[in-house]
Amino acid sequence: MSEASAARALPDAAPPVLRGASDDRALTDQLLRPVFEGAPGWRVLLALSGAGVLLLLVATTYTVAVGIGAWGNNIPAAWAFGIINFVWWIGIGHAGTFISAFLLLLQQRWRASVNRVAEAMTLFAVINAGLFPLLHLGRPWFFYWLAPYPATMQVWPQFRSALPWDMVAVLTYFTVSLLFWYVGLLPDLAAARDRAPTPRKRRAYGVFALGWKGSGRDWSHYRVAYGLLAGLATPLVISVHSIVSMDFAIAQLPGWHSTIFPPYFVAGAIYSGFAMVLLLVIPLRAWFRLHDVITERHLDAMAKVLLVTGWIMLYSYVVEAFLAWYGGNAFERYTLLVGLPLGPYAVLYWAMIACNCLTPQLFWFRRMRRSIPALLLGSLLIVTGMWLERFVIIVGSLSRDFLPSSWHVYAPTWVDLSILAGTLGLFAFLFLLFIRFVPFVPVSEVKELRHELAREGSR
Amino acid sequence: MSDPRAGDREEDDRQTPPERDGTAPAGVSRRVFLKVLGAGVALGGTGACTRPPREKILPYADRPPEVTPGIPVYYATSMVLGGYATGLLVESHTGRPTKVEGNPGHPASLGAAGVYEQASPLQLYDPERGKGILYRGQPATWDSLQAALGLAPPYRTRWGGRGEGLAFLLEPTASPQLLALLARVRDRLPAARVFFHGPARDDSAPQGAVLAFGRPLHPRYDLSRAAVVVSLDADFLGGEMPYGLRYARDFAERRRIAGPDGAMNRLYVAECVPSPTGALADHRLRLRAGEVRQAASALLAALAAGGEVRVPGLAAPPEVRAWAGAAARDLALHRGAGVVIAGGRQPPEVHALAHLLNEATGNAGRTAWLTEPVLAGAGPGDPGPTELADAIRGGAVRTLVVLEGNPAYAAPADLDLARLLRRVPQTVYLGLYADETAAACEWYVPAQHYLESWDDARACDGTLSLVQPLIRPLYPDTRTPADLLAPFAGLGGSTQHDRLRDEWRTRGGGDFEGFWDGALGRGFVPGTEAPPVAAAPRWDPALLALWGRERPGIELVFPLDPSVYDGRFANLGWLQELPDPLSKLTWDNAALLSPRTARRLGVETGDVVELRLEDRSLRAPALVLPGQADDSVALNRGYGREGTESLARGVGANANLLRNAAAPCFAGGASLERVLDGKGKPVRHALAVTQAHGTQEGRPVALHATLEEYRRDPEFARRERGRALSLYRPFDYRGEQWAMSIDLSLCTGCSACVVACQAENNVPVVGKEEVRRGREMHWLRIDRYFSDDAEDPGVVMQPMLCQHCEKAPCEYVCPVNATTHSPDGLNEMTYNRCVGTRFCSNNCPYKVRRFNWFAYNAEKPETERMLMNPDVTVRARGVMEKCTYCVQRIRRHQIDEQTGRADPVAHPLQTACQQTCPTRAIVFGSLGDSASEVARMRREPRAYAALHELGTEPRTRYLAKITNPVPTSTSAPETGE
Amino acid sequence: MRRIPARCAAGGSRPSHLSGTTASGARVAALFSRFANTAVRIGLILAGLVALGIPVALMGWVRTPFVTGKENPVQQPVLFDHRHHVVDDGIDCRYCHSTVDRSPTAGIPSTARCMGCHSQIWNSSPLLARVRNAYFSGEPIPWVRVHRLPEFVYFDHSIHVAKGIGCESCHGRVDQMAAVYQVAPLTMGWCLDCHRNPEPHLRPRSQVTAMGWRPPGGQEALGRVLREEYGVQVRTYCTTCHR
Repeated sequence: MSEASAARALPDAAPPVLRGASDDRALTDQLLRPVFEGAPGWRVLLALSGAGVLLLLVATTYTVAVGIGAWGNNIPAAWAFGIINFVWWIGIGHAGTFISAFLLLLQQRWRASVNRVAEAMTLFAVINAGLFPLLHLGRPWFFYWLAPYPATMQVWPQFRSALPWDMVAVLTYFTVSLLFWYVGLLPDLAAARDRAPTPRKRRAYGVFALGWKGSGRDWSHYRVAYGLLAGLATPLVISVHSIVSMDFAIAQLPGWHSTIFPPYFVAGAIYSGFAMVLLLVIPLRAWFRLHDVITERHLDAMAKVLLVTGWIMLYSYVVEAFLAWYGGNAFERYTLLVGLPLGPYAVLYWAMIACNCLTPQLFWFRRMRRSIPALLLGSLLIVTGMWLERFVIIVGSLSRDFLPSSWHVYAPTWVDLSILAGTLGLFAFLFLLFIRFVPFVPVSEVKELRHELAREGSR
Repeated sequence: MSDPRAGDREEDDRQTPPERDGTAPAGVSRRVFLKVLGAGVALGGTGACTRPPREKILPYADRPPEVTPGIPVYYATSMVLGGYATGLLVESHTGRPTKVEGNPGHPASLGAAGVYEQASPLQLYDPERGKGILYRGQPATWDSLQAALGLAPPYRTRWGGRGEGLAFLLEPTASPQLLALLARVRDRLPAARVFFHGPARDDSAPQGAVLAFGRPLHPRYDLSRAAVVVSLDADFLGGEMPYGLRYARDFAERRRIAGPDGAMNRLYVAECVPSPTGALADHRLRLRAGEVRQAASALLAALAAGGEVRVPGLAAPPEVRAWAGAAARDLALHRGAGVVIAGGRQPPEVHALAHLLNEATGNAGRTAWLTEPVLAGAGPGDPGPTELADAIRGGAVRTLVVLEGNPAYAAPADLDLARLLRRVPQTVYLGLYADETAAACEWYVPAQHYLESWDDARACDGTLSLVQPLIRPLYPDTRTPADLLAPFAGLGGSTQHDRLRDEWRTRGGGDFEGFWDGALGRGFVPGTEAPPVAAAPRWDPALLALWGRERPGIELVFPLDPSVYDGRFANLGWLQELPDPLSKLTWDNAALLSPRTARRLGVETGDVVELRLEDRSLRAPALVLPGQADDSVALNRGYGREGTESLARGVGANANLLRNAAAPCFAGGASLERVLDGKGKPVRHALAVTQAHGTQEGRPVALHATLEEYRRDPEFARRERGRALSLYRPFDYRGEQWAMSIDLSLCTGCSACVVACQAENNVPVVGKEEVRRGREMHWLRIDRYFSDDAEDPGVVMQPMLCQHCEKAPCEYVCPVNATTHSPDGLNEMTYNRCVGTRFCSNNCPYKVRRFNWFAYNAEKPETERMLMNPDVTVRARGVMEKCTYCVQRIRRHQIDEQTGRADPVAHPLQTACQQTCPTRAIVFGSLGDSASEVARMRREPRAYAALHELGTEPRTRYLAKITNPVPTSTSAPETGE
Repeated sequence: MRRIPARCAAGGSRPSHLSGTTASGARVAALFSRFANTAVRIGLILAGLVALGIPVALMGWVRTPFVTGKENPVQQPVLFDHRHHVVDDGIDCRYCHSTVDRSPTAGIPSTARCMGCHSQIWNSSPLLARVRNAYFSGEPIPWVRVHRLPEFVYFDHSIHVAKGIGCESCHGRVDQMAAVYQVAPLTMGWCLDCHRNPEPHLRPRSQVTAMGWRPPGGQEALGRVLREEYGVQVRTYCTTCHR
């Protein structure tokens, strides 16, 4: 069937969600090629990210060995890089579930080609995020005291604090995301099993395929399970980051103590998440020449999401400052109208505003929404801006709180920076393994989509 | 006294920090990796419960009757500083002195103790104290020293039998037995010479007396009867002035104001360097140290002219006229109820003027009187370091015995003692540390700490005080000054204890043992203060000084350091890390400049500057401090030490290198300029200052008002108290309701409470780098706020500690219930439950919580472990800690009451900070008893809660600071008395 | 059902556009044995059990004597037999542990205290040689601690004695122990049980050191009375023990 027909199937002559790929076999071969034939330069990249993982290992071991003092934290800034990175990574994780679950329920076709990359990104981001609540403890080896269990001490966690809930939320989120991702993988694992050149690979994929036969029964069960998990995952997109935002909102610290935090954080999470998806998808697309499967249409759609969530951020910033002024609380006024914009971290504050509020305005223009450099640069700025936002919220607010006598400036140490760099390394490392051994574009869904489009086209 | 090695008995596990988490902050050692392994195991889920190895219990072989393991015993003793004694009670746990308190009965203490006293036990256990006798750096023995000195008989052959060429250098002392010993030495060896060298300029007051009365009389003041106090550069509320604790108490009792219609004294201060006294002043005159004499003259002139400075030649600047005029009017108005005090830094003329002023205002004999000198060796006749230097240069000294004081470091540089000492053929030095003087001397004899030796002394008022040991000397080779002198007096064989008793027998009267035991029990002999002496000052116009700079250029002032004194305490971490009351500087001294002077010279805080005086120069970091006099630069003494003490070594700059013997406390005609590096950039020095921001930003934190305003609107603090709306369920309070009230009118910022808290609660020292990071561990800090005026601001001191909020923000954010609330109103912190999320600190509006970023308590020296308070957990790495209202004392007190173990009346329940506070600004008690002092203070109209609007309902309440300047409305200066 | 593995291997040939097989659906040799599915199921179940079991096992383990140190007789440097001294000689606990009613620590007797009697009786027994040497040399005897509380727990014997808690309540029937061992787990939970509800453990002060004492009129009545009389409070807040 022809590209034209596919194009006709879509409104307002937007670029098609799928191009070329005349038959299933060709499509399958193309999409499974990286798995069996590898990719140019893959080993080099893996080695590079591996170095990052090593750095992470050294920095964390050192931290656990000598104590959290290895970081730059102090009184008043008792939280800093650790929590910043945690919130940042967790936020990035959100796009995955959003794309696969939300868009699935909303029946957005364009999700098909990118959802698995997004989900994988979610998993790896959450793994990174999960490191920090553990690492930033003064005595990590007692982390399990946050869990409710019958101890010989007969002491229980404190459920008025957000932290135990936080732990539960993150763990649930990770579990559900993992299942969702895996269930979605099943048909493709089976396909990989059947395509695998060597018996060993066939066996390996076979084990993970859990004996998928592709029978009607398999498919009906698959659909139900996938739908259920989608339904389960969707509220999590909201809940997790809402609870994370509670870590701050329940405190009475000016700059934290704000009711707008949950929606504000969720929006910010999706914002940074989509930016990260773009940062991953665009290189992949070029690397494996997937322009037919991941088309301008996808990029365009994601850029639009960036534009929307970007505006939500802008709105939140304005509302926060306005309420501080309107509420008339002297401390909040100082923090939000003086301390942050003019204080010791003013530069970072304005950099954040620039990155998060100005960048997305690019995407008013279609050309920008489809220009690779613009998208890459924009996403990079947004991801950075969102990290800065967490820095400003956490360190900015803490370092100048109620008593002027206790004001003190915070500065990170080499350990802080190494851990941040290290998590980036770990993320890249896991992602490289993923694209090498798992079909990172959902073969079955794309083929299904192709057939749907064909049906529409022929009607 | 009991065996020091009995120290670690029965309570072993109390002092050793929990090994489980004990890791070193510095680097990753093998131990550390074992810990990581341990952590791994713990992660496996067994962390809290792995079974520890069996411990040994070592009971006494034969227990001393007075010792009950687990129950502290208190002994009375005295600490001597600057020659004067302060009475102390020392807490001893199974033979280990752990904590020092003031002796309530002792006139120089009245139960209070200062910074130096509080820190002194740390010095006893300082692992770097001298331990053995050294000869040219090599281990030697007492006998070899005796032989070398020719004190093994027949010694009369030495020094021509009369002591030619023999010289002693002592600190001025009031110890009867030491003076008796000196007398014996003198008449056995008449040609031997005795020189004195004191840390403070002890001789200017006696010389002033000579100017005024013709003989060296000793001035005394009774501030409890003074409605008007005029200080001529006298920091009588700070730690440096002898008898300061007593003066502070008396002053405070007259300062404490019960209500708007209460009475209050008025304080006039003319000073150069901002001080605790200046911080409380109602009228502070900021001028160069060299101009204080002119100010005093102006004051005298004003008195003569009935409040107007009109005497020709005394054309004082307007602010001086205003100050002197007001003070004169006040003094005239309160004849006999005022007092003028001259500071030890000031030259004799100022002291003489002070005597004249007191005479002129009818205060002499009432609030200010005289006694015969208490201190020997500080009089005008007594040969000092200058005379010693001359004698050495003249080759008249062949054997020199230096008894403490570290003169090689502390003496003015122009004397060049350090080099001269090396010229003396035979030199012996007795000191606590192998310091600069030890390096310059042939022989070094380690001195005994006062907590391990027998001695006697006199308080500033002459009260005979006893120094008794609480522990057998930690190092057998240590000696007291008397031990070293005794052989010269032919008492070689005797022990200090015997000599002391023999000396005291002369006083004992009939029943000596009874007298002796009484003295031991009390720590002093009541009724032995020096009687007043009548004397009229002579008027001498030459005392007056005219205005106009006597010398151009910058003036340099060399105050004693409020933390390390003259350097003798420089190796004590507690004191190095104790923020300066005004500048809040730790681990350094700095050249203090007024903002204007700094602007004029283009200097900023942290710039390294070069100070030049005559032919000498010194580099030091600059620190801009509002309240410092213009064109005057203060550099504290006691830093830049070069002895063997590792903490003291190389910290700060040695101000003594700029001092000269003629004007040891301040000198004009100096210059200052920034030091630039090769590229013309200013050289910077990192200062560890604990309070970066000076003002309150208009927030309701440390309230203050003048007495006038207070009377006009007694309820001015109303908005900062009262119930606040809350969503919390009311907490179920039962039993005593602990609370604290702090009167900001009385807080001088002297910081004794900070050290007391550190000593009581095993608070670790973290070092300069950590302080710079903002990680100091003080549970109790003193916030110093300037009023907005940049050049000469008012100052409010606010002790800030855990407020024990009834609605505590820290409690509901802790995920593991490590910080909780007790029925008696304490905000509890359970270290061993803490996992270290630090959320509590983030949510604490007062930022009084401290975190163990590293294992600050790991690897403490054996001796320092003996100092640990066994009633308080030594915190592990990674846990939060904070003020507990000394809960260990509360619980022990409750148990005492219920078991009748100890007498609660004899040992009333006090927090460490409250107990040591010289002005009794801190009051702790139960709200359950509405008659209690703490409850009464809470009901005062000026009582308020810091950051009240947050609704934390703190149990710690502040009483707004009331100052008492001359009312603006009325022309007559009413002090309200 | 021979065809299942085959089908499985084939990966399902239709609807072909949805699976990965060739359109022709060519059969491939069996990839897994029949047992494979069962194996996977068993594997999953086992994994689940382990995941649940480990924490549960740990929680159990920390309650065992291996961790609490219960029931573990300790060899002392001197063969001291409490049975003999308490039962045969009828010596009161407080004779040796003399500070138990006025100090946090019960007090380990000084060597002098031992010699008080043993200079008279058994003064030449080889069993006591160690004690005599210690006494004359002044070197303390290194007794081995049996009841160890962590350094952050501040237990005070005197207040417990004053409130009528018997030695036996925590230390067990020392009069029946050859070598003393720990009978209580000494876990925080164990402390709390009594701190929450002291009444079942109260006895008259006169009977505090008695071994095997039974309340004549039943414990409930007595407990209520003594609680009133001694002013025993329920103290479960942290600073009761942690300071």
